[in-house]
Amino acid sequence: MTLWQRLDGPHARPFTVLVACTLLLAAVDGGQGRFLSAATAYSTLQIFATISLVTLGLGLTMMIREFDLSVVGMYGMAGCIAVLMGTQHPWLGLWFALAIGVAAGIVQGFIIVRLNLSSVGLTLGGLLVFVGIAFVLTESRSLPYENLGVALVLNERIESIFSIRSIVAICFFVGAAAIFAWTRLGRDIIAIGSDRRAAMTAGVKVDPLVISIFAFSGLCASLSGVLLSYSLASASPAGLSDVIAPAAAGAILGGVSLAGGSGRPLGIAAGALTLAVLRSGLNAVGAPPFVNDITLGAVLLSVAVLDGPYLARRLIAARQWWRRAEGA
Amino acid sequence: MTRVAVALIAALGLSFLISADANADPKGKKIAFLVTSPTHPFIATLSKTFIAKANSYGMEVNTVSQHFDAALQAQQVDDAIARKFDILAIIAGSEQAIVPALIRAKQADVPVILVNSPPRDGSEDLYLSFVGEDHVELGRITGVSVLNALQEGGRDGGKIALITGSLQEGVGPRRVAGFREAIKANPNAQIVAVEDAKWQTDLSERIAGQLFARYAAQGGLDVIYGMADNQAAAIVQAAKSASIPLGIEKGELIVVGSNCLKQGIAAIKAGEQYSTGTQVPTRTGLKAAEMIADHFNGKKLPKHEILPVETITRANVAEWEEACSY
Repeated sequence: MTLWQRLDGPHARPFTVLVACTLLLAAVDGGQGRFLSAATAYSTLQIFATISLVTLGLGLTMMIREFDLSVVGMYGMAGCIAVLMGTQHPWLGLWFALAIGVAAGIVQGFIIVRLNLSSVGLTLGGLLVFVGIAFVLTESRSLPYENLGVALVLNERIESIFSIRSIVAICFFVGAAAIFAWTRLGRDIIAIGSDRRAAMTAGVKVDPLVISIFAFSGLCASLSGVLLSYSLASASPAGLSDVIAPAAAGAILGGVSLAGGSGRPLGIAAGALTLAVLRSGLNAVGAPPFVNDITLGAVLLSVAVLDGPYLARRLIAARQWWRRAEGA
Repeated sequence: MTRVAVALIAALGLSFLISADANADPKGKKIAFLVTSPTHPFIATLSKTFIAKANSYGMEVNTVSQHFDAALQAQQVDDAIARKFDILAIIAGSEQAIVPALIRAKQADVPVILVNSPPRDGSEDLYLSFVGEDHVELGRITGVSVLNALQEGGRDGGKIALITGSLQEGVGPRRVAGFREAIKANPNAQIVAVEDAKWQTDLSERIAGQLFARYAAQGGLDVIYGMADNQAAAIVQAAKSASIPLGIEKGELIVVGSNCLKQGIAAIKAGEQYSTGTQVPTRTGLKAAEMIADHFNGKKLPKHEILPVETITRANVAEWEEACSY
């Protein structure tokens, strides 16, 4: 196997893209210290903390050939619940929001498997319901979170580049990667995404696993929403950040296919980190705002083209033709 | 010996003064300009004017932007603090969510000027100055304008609907509060609907159509306030589609706007819109840059630089046409 084949393999590609983007930005910086600095590393990890947990939950649902659109609504609603309940007792707000996130995920997963429904349609309904509940709870207003101490602690620098939020996100990915590596859960998830009927025949408990993954997705979205609301000392029923587009892009960059059956948690982490590196790096080198969107679009397009089976077949055919020509 | 000592002290003092003056010069100062919704014509014009004026003082402006993404804007503030800009000029996307970032800027001794978007009450310690309009007052003068239009048309009160910008926080709720306060002067003038169209033209047109249908059986609406002129233009369009006559006479729909965009000016001249309110981006951009230059020149800035607001009707539209056509 050539080096290129190794780097372009399904598990290595997210890291290759991450390294390529990092090197490119370092080259653009030209050694001026704007990109390769502790400040940019901190900024990158903060953006990673904002998007990565939702990316992980969404990525896992994509691995089983589903799609959890409700993460957007849960992200905003959980923040509103936590801010409403957690001014005096932040932990109470956090646990309550997490419980609702998990419960909503279980309910959605249960309906999907019991009624054999499309997850896109059902979770779109979930999204609208959660957004509606958030507007009712907040009376259509943004809410201030008066416990500013919590906001400052959550973003306080730890070892120059980390914060509590980014450490929580990293811990989630490490835990998910460990489960994939050392239990059969990872293989079961990939099997469900590849061929659900075959997985069932092979003894995989498909329905409980699908419900669990939606519950986990709800947990990730609610935790992410709560941490963001606490750290910005406010909550908005419309959400405080655009999350679905970066999460889907991060999962795809991380090697997860919309057709299901592929991807790894560490790959998803690399995908989310690639987005964060691009956003903070381009900002650090002083690129105009529109360059971020163009660059991200170009990276996604490249990955999508490289993933195309038709292109892969053409490349293989071209390589074989080249070898034959060399032999002749 | 004493003379030498005095001369040395005087020279030392003079050198400090010269040094202080050199530091105070705005030339060469770096401004981080954090913009929300940069493609909106109002914000785009404000930004362009601000940057040109700041550059004319020899200041360097580095612009970063986002589209109402509070998390990203907070991160941009942190990045700007880390990159050691001399001052931050912020058009905040969220008056609530910007507060922790303002605290971190204060802790890092980086001064902040808030531009256009009003700051959260009680956060005065966290910024150097705010420049922009008083949106409660802008809502109030619009309410007064509505009462004038009703009176001119010989109507004693009427049903009023508001199609607003985002009501979650910031400008929208302030203008509604001011408008309500002014309307109280006539008990027969009733606000029957307040609909959040999030500053969007297409959504405003759709909501206007729904309002016409809802109130058709009750004799129709007398007035609609489109919170920005792009929204007022959408209301005018919806009224034309529904064959509802526009004007101030009985049986006609009175449309009022705000933010003085060129659509509003054209509609006032055509008699389709009664009034708009001054919120001129070039004025705000110039003032913000001047205030930053003043700060570096050692002048003390007012905490709130409130720009005057005025109602524009057919009587004075010519005076404002150029400033509002961008």
